[in-house]
Formats: sequence, C-alpha cells, structure tokens
Amino acid sequence: MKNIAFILLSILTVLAAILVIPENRIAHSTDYDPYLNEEHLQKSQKELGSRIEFWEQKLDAAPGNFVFQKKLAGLYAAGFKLSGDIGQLRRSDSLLQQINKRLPGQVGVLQSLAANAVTRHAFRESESYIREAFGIGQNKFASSLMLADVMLERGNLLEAELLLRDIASRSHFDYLIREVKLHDQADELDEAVRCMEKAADLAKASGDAAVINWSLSNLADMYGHQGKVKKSYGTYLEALHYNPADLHALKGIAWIAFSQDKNTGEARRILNFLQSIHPVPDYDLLLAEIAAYEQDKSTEEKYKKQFIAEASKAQYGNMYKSYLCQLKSDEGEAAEAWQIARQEVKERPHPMSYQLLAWAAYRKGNKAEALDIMEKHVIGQTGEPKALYHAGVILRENGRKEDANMQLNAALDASFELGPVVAKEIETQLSRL
Amino acid sequence: MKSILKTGFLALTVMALSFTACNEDDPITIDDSRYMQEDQMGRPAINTVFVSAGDKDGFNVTTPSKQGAAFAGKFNDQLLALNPAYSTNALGLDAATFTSVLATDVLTVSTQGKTTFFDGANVLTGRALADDVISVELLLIFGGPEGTGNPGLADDNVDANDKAFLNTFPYLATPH
Repeated sequence: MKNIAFILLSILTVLAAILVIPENRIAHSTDYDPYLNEEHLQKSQKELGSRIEFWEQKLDAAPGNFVFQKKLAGLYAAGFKLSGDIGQLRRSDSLLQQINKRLPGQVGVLQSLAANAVTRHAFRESESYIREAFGIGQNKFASSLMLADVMLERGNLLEAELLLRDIASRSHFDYLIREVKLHDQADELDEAVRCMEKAADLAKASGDAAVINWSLSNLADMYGHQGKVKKSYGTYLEALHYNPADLHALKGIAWIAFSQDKNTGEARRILNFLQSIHPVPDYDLLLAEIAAYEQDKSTEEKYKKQFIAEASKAQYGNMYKSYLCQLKSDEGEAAEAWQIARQEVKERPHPMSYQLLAWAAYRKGNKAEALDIMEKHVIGQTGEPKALYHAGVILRENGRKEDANMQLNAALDASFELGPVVAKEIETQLSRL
Repeated sequence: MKSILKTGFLALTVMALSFTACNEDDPITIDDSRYMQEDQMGRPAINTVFVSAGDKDGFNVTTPSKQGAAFAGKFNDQLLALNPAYSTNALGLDAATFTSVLATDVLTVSTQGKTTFFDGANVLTGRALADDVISVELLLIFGGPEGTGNPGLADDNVDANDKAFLNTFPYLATPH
C-alpha cells in the first residue's frame, strides 16, 4: 500500500513537473509569432529602397551634387541597419568622404562620418571627426552628445560627464538617453533604468513610432540586465508593436527563451528566422551557445567556426573584434587573442577591453600578468557581469579566494544576462574555492 | 538585480558629484522634447552666407531685435571679405549701413502697395514666389553703386522656377 502511494505520488510529481514547467515559461510563441514574418522587414526595406532609388537618380543627373550625396549617405547608413549589408555602410562612408574632401569642414558631414565610424567600432577615427565638428561649433548640442558617446566608448567617463553637464536638459530626449548611458557605465543600473523609462515616456509623448520603438527595445534590454525578465519580455513585445521589423527585440526574446526558459528549440527557431532574413554573423554566436548548453559539441564548433570565418573578414573592420578575441582566447588561440586585445585597448581603452586583454593573458598562461591588468584597469571600474566573471576566475587562479568569491557571486547575480552556460561555469568556479 | 562590486574609487569620485536622480515623481516636461530651434531665416541665404559656422548656433537663437547689435560687425567683415572693393550698392548703402540692415534678419512686409523683394521701384516690401531673390542679393553685394559691377557674380542666372507656380493655394509648384 505504501509503495503504491509512493508510486502514485511520484507519477503525480512528474506530471506536475511536465504540466507546470512550461507554464512558468515567459516567452510564448503566440505572442511573437506574428513578427516572425519576413514581410515586415521587406516592407521597411522596400520603402527605404525606393527613397534610395529616387536620390540615386537625382545624383546620376547631377554627379557630384553634395546635397544628393548627403541624402544618400544617410539613407545607406539606415539601410545597413536594416539589411546588415556592410556594403551599404561603406557606400555611405564613401559618399561622405567625397563631400568632406571637396568641401571640408561641414559640421553635418563630420557628424555623419563620426556616427558611421562608431557603427564600425572605429572609435579613434570617430573621435577625430567629432572633435573637428565640435571645434567648428555649429550645432554644438549634437556634437557634444556625440563626443560624449565616443568618450563613454573610449572609457573617458570624466570628459563625457563634463560635456553632458554643459548641455544638461532633462526634458530633451537626446540628452536624457546620454544620461542613461552615463549611469549605466557608472554601474548605477537602477537609476539608468529610471532615466530610460522617462526617455520612453518622452518618446511616447512625441508620437514618433521609430523613437518609441527604439526606446522600448533598449528599455527591455535594461530590464533584462536587472534580472526583471518578465518585464523585459513585455517591453520587447511592446517595442514590436511599434515596429514589427525590430530584429533586436526578436533577438532579445530568443535570449529569454534560451536563458530564462531553457526552451532551446524555440530560441533556435527565432534565431534561424533572424539569420534567414538578416545575414550578419551575430546569430552564429548565440546558436553556438545554445549548442553548448545542449552539450552538442560538433554543432557548437560548427557555429563558432562559421562566426570566426565571417566576422574576421576585412570588410567588418573592428566590428566583431571583441567577440573574436573572447572566442580565440577560449579556443586555444590565446596568442592571437592577445594581439587582438592589444589593438582593442588602443581603439577603446575601456575596462571591457582590458578584461579581454587580461583574459587572453590568463589563457596564455600568464596569470600574474592577467591579475595585474585586472587590478589596474578592470576591478572596481566596471560592473559588467562578464568582467566580474573573468576577474573572479583570474583572482582564484592567483590564490585570492575571498576576492574571487565576491566577484564570482556578483557575476552570478546576472546569470540571466550571462546565460546558462556561463552561469554553470561560474558555479563550477565557486565550487572550487 | 545586479549587485556591483566597487573596490576601486577612481570612477566613483567622478560620479559622486553627479546628477540628481531621475525620480519617479519628477514631472515630465515635454515642451522642448520634440522641438528645438535649429535655424532662423528672414531673408533667404543671408544667415547661410554671412554667419560663420562658429556663430551659427548663437545667431539662430538670437531675437531679431538683438541681432543687429550682436552681428552687424561680423556681417560687415564678411561683406568686405566677399567683395573687398565694396563702396556702396544700388540702394546707396555703404558697407556699415547695408550690413546693419542685413544683420537684423527679418523679412519686412508692406501692408499697402505691391509685395516684392525688389522690382526696380519697390524695395523689400515683402517677397513674392517668383521674385528673383538670390540675384537681388548678389546684385546688392557685388553690383556696386550702379548695379552694373562684377556681372559674373551679380546674378545667379536662374531666372524662373523650373516648374510653373499654381494660381491657387498652396501656390507653390507641385513636387517633382
């Protein structure tokens, strides 16, 4: 009798688990299936395409007309964001370069060149363009914002803050989102989120669907960083409502399906869709991580190789260098990773570049050097979970168990952001302390 | 929520004197969230030609009644840079008088009589769509006292819109 009761109870428990676990899932395909439709993106691309064609015809009729060139440069830069086709970004740059050569010192052109350079992760180049624009003085508000952006990327928090303080105007959307970045970089995440919520309110008051979408998509990312996954999911869906072609939001939902729900099939389905309509290397990296979680080594390797081959192409410039560096460190190519990291540190002397440098040093076997880099440039200077994790490992390797424990536990708090594979690695590390 | 380890204090000292918080009960003011004054133009091309890039932001937010005092001197320099031989123009204005008129960048309108930028008899009594505004300005800058100097510079050689204006609202030509 007792046995039967036990068996019944076991069956009930298993049944409950089967029935209940999916209920706890946050991402439901019925919510986002309507957006897994290439027509949304095609519609946006078609609209942009017809505008490009219009101005190309004008330029054909009047070669060298810089007004038409400027229009086209802006449209091609937008086109790159939609299509992921790096050729469009290069076309945009080449048009701007032509104008800048013939009519140097136009602030609008310099600002556009700086913006494109940021997209290419060429931060030093961007800095020189935007400093020139800032020095000329016209439209200083925009130049100040952009220079602050570049300073934040290059790890110069002080100059960014001084620039922003000069133009502080909280009721201005463009200013407010810089304040969000400033708080985020200073690891004041809750305050950053509060400002971003305000920015989203401002966007909604403006009624501009593109700006509302952008704000919500970013806000959703930030809720994720806070570990508020349900709120993040709801906000991605809201973002998609304003722009059904928001691939960033769909990628965010794929991450929720994977990292939170452990629903790898669904995450893969979303990512495969994204990959089919938006050929950029990024998705390979996520697919590799899902394969790693499923302990499918050969698939993981396949995606990693695919990513490295594509992202290493010269046409991408610096865009994927930090990912390549991380991958090569972990794939037994630490010497090469070290070289990439040294370049990254020059381009972007930010704690996140230094943590890559330290990680490459550690993987090369130089754990004392790795610790030295971490202590000088990373620990206490960023709260990015990946940096905390790497710092924890390097501290442990150097026998600094207590410090390692603190860093690793702090990293583990962001296990949603880091994903289950890294979270598991952190737990392993902690268990060895 | 992400808890953050802050063992260093370099970055912290910067942020310590940072901004006040984005409090939840802060009222949201949206008055200038969408609109910011970016340009100010009374007479076509005057701001474009006479205001340097470094002065643009300032000029664009200066009340017209204060533009003369703030910018007439710079307009004068720019006029003499464009046309070092300037003495007077067809209106009989010397450089200082002409640029003090230009620096107050408003479009004057006469409520009586003909509306025209310049038709040979009436000066700046408004602006009609077909007025050859740029040529008039070039003539006043480069044409000398008789309006006959620098013939290559005193005319933009565009005498009419490339598409006919409409006789009814909105009066502008249809877009291309």
